[in-house]
Amino acid sequence: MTMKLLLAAGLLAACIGCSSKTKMNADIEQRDLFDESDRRSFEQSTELAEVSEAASEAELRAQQDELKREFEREEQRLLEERTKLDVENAQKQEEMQREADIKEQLSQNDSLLSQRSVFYDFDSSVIKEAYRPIVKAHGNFLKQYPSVRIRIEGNCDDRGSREYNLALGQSRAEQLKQALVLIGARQDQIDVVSYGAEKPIALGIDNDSRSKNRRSDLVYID
Amino acid sequence: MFSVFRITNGLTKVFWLSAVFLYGAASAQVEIEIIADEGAKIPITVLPFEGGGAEARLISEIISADLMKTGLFTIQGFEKKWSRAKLTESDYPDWKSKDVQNLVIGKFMDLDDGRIQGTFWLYDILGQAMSVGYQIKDDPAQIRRMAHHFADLIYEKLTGDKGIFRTKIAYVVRSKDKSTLVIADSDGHNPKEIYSTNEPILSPSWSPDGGQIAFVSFINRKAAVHVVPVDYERSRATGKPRIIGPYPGSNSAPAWSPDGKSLAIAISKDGKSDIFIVSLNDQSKVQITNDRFINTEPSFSSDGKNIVFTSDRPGRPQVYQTTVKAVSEVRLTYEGRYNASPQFSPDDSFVVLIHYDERKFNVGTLDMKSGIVQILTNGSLDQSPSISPNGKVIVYASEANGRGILRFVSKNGRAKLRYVGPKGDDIREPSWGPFIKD
Repeated sequence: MTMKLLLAAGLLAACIGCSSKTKMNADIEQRDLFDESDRRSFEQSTELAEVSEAASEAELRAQQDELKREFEREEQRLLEERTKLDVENAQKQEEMQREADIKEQLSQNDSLLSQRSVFYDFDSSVIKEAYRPIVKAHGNFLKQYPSVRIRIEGNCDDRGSREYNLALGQSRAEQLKQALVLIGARQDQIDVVSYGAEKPIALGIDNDSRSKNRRSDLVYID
Repeated sequence: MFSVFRITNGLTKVFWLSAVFLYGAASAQVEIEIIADEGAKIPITVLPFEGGGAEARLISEIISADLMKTGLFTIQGFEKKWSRAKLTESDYPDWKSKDVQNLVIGKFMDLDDGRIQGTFWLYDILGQAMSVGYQIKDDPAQIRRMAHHFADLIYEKLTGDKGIFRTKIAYVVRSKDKSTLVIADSDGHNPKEIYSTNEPILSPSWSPDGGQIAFVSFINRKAAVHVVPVDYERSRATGKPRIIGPYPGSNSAPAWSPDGKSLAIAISKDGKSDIFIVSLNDQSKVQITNDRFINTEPSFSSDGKNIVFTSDRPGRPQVYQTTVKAVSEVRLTYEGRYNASPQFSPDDSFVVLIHYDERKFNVGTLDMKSGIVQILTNGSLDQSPSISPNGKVIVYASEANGRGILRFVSKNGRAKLRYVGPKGDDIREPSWGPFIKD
């Protein structure tokens, strides 16, 4: 940008220098008018000079026109640059707004999006009716903002085989992912892991604690 | 510091075994309680070894404890004045008159070269013959191993089965933010930390030669199969465990092939889980199961030709068997809401598993001939059964007062033991190691 402006200024300066040099040559030819001894050659040379003066004037005009056009083109370019910048700025602002929107939507306390867990029955990876609206809200959100990434973490309660639970947690998380993809999320927006029964959030062995541990968490990744 | 052996089914004998061991930086107490002890027994009298001192006494105490814990022996009392000299032919009537049937006497001494020497004899009083005589010279630090070796020889002579008193058990100790893989003697002594991480550890599995342990832990939030050498000092020096794969998805449930050259593992991906056999040499893998269900927890038969595993194909986890070559699968369990964690017995005659009947999870055995499942335990949440290399005892994870403990049950269900770790430890995921080579 700045480089182009400098270039344009340089071209203009070179052009002014060029036309003053032509005027100087004309002055010298005027002085020759007072030389009686060589009138003939003067006449001849005047003729020649007139011809050459006419030629150089046309050249000069052409040059000046070209420079003007060049200058105008440069101005146009600068204008376009500025417009592009403005657009970029607007886009950036839009992006920032979008990010702010994403943040805001994700930080609202009372929205469906604020609910980030789906809970299951024992030994089941079926998403229960009650959690469909939550899944739908997250699916639509991911569809609306394709740049957003999440990780689904499948968990199980402590009952049964630890290894089977690891596979069950994976199955819970994968089925939730497929539900989100059906709504419109892209496959590559969602990573899936299973902790099986290894990372319980509730440590009790009562039904309430166990039902809290049978869950998939949706974790939004910054 | 001591271990407690307590018989709680109405018998009166209490054995106090003196033993000091260190667990990490802090010393602690191992409690082993015999909670059931039924059926006909082989009577045996184990006299304190000659040679005096705590070590000589310790050897005979360890032998008694080992034999008693199997539930197959009655340890008979003795009088202090009884002779501990080698028997001659004329001594048998005298021992018979004392109602002694099987008699163990022995000698202990420190050798000039710094080693210790133990010698023992087992006499069949009714048959009027010495059935076993054996001598061991070893490092003083190996005194418990020496006693377990004697107990193995006595057990083998009197039951016909190989003894497991020198074998090791691997398990996981879970604290707040840390999991530690530990190996200990099968009686809980000499625990050694093998590997420690902030992530959970599960499913330890011994290589057939006892030199390595495969287990599952998490890397970047994903389950991955790890392999570490059992040699404590060496594994510390070499640091990081070897990771098998990792292949995309959850990698878990490692089981060694009997030749030790490959691992069967489960790989969970795209909402399903399948069993693969991975070569440890070049990590090439062969897929064994292939459907849209959960297939996990593989265990090889002794010849390596069959695999039992857990699958939820019927909508609930049940136990299946497949051949390794030319895959042909059969369902093995039908009774019960939930059957899982199968492991072949060493002679392939039965499979140990966990069984859920809508109320509680218990350890059971599935007889491969009759298909009958026999439930052996009565906890509410028994998990992770692992069978001893002689097929006679099953160790499993259970709970007491909100923390994980290990329990042992004999294959016939008659003998039950409880192993409570050092105070505060939450113990889980036991895995019984192979026989120790002499």
